[in-house]
Amino acid sequence: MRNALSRMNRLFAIVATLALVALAATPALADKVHTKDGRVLEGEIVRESSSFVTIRVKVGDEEKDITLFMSEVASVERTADEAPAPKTEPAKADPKPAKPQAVAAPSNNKPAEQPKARSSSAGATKIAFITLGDTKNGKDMVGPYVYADAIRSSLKILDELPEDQKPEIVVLWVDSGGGALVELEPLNRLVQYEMKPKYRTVAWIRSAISAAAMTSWPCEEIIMMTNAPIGACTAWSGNLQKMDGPALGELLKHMREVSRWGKKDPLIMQAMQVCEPDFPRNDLSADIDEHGNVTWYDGPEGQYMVCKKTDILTFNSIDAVKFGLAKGIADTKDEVAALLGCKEWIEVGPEANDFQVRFRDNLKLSETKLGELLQKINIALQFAQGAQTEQERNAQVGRALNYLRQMRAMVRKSPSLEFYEQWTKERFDAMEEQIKANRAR
Amino acid sequence: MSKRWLFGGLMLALVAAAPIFSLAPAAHARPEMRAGDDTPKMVELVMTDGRVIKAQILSETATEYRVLAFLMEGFPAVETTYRKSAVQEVRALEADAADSADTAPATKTNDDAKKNTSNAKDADKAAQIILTRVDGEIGFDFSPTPLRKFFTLVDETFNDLDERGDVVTDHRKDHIVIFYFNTQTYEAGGIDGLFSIMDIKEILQDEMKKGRRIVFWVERAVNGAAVLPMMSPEIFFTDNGDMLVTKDLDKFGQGGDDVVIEKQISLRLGHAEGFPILGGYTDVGPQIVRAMLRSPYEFWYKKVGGKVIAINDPPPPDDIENWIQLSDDGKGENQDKLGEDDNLFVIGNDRLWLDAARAYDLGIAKAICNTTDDIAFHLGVGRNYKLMLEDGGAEVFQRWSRELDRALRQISQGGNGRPRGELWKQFDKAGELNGIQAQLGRRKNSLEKIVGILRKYQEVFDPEGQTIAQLNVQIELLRQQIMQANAQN
Repeated sequence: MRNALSRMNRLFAIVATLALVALAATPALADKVHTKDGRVLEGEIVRESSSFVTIRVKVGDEEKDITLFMSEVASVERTADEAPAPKTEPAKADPKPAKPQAVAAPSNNKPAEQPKARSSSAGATKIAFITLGDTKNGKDMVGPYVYADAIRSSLKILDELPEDQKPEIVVLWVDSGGGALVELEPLNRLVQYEMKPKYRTVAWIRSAISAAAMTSWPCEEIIMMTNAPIGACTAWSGNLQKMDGPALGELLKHMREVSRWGKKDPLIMQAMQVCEPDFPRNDLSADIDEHGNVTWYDGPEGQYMVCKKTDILTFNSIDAVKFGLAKGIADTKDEVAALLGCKEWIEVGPEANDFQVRFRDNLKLSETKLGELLQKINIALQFAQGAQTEQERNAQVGRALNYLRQMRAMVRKSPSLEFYEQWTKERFDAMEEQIKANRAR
Repeated sequence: MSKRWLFGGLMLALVAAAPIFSLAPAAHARPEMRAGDDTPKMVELVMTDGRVIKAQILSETATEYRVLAFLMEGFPAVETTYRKSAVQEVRALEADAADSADTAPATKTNDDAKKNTSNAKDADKAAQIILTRVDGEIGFDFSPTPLRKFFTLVDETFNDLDERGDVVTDHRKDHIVIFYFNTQTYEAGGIDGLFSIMDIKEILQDEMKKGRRIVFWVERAVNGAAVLPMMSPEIFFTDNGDMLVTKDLDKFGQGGDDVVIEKQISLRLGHAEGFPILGGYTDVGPQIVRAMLRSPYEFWYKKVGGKVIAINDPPPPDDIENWIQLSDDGKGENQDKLGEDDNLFVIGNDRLWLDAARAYDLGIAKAICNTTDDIAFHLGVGRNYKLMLEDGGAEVFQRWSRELDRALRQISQGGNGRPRGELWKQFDKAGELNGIQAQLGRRKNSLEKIVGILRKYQEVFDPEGQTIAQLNVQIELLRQQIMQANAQN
């Protein structure tokens, strides 16, 4: 698994390097392709249609043609299109970086002035955004999709960036409905011990339910999108059966510790995890003083009843800010940067997020296809066993082996399946032996 | 328990009667355009493409008719122009067809007619409105693919985007899209329907971010569809309009431990509360949603300095007379009583039912409007507006619905009152063919066609791709069988 990830790391490091070299080696006057993930490819546009553009870039002494689908392209500038882009042109991932934002959210929670992303790094705060999960496309389960090893690989990409391009802030853009608790501790430890010592680490919540909320918990700074929920962390399995006994005790203890890491009152997480009548718990209430400081109460005595003892807590964005869990509401990267106090900012390391996107895409494809391929293997073996001739029998075995190779390739690209679906090398090896045993002798 | 509203039987009947795929208007009364006595006589325009359009000819040139077209029953008339070359025949109608239509007050529609006529004078300055009906089921008829196509049509029609793809500042107020909502998400799913509107929400959010003014006009919005309009800061209700949720989250699921059920309820509330926050209803929206979704959440409100303050618990006893209660906790004596026929859908006050008057009083509805003129007035464009597109863009959704319907006629496996699809029938009848290869080939061919259709409409029929994967396995099996049969011959 780790070998596979290392290979992917290298691949992405090469891609990243190519992109950077392309940037550095470009002549002053050149065509430019701005990609939606924030990269700028400079060179000569050699082919173009309504659906793609091919730009020839210089990498060292070599020229290389890079073809991009228009769906990946934010804009195209041509040398002949008048002057080159102004220096202040943003290089952030948002394809429309300079536009004013029209977000219907409470203005008191939004930064009054939004900084603009810049393409020049001088003086600008460098921020990397890494998406964790994608609920819209069903690629959001903590464990298989939000996977500590994969995030570690993204982190490695950031670590290997040249010093002047390394982020100062890493924003984890969380969009998940929860998942496997077994991944929680690796994720929490990754954030606490591998990310926070190197980077100011921020959780930006699109949706953080259950294990996803707990994944965000070590971050000392949380920012909500306007319609984001965070909470509902009750552990369960099977047919809505609660986690109980020592396992729950360990989990509660772990999250108390993580609350301490994230500088949050542990009562908040407790109210997200358990409630009466299944578990003894008091009402959760709070006072807010004139400076906005929040005092939490393990009982109903506070000015605000935040969560009754019979309810499980999920904060909406307004309440998350009101009760100090989140530092504000932001729907764009510019707004995030403003809330983090950056007057000017630049997005760096989009390759780290590319890795996550590709990881999720591969996994989604694998989830659907692995079962199909497995059944096709079974069919081929059935026909092999009923074959009339040796040639036919071996052809079927060959077919089965081909399907098995496809399965192996898929799992190599989606290493979390080794753990979460038990698609281990040993299992594949055993299957291969079993298939080969069907060969005619 | 206090007041109860037993309109549930009617509601159920309407929902049951509404065809799943149809975007045709429902049968009950709604504001609509009708011709008055002082307007030109009704005619039927028989178009060269086969359509027959009821209309009033307002003026005519050598090449064109300018008409007030009654394109859809229950829909406001639209002033538009047809080339004479596209009109095969103009038939006079004996009786004024619009008069026989529905029951909306004529005075309103006369206003509309006059407005449409007068608009021509200052057409250049007129605000442009695209008014489209959303009937049927959200997530099915009204789903991401046709919605994206609709907004492409909107952009083309308004022609108001700058080079970045944003709406130019000059037209952010006067180019308006109005969704007339008489819709629901999957009824049996209750508020779980909100999970089927997330993609739609994102599309609408993107449009609003680019500066597109999107307005909801609610006649009825049920379940997930009840929270969707709340993402817009501009909601209007018809006078009989309402928003409601058909299932009490407090009765979530069957079985399971209480704490896990609480979690499920909590996360649903968290998602649902995000919609009114998105629309800017931060002071009352989350409280409204909680009370709509779950019976133990009461709803009380009062106004202080014109501002609505809402809570989900009873107010302090010494202040209770200043508060208005709209829903109770549904416990004990407060529990709504079902009638003898407990199949009736009964709205009581265990949960909040948001009718037009309440929505307006709580500041969710900007106004109660029954005509296009009304809503245009409240949108700040007065009477100087022009309705764009013949059908408000509804054809995009109707075409999609028709496509889905056609697809289902091919691929439905049968059951739930729907006959077995043609391709499955072909699959079933393959055994009648002579020769095993022909039989297997027909079956494989049928399944491949089914997979092709499933892929085309995957967002509706097989979003996770599981059915396609299963059919692919069957196809593989048939492929092998065909090879074997060929080898044996």
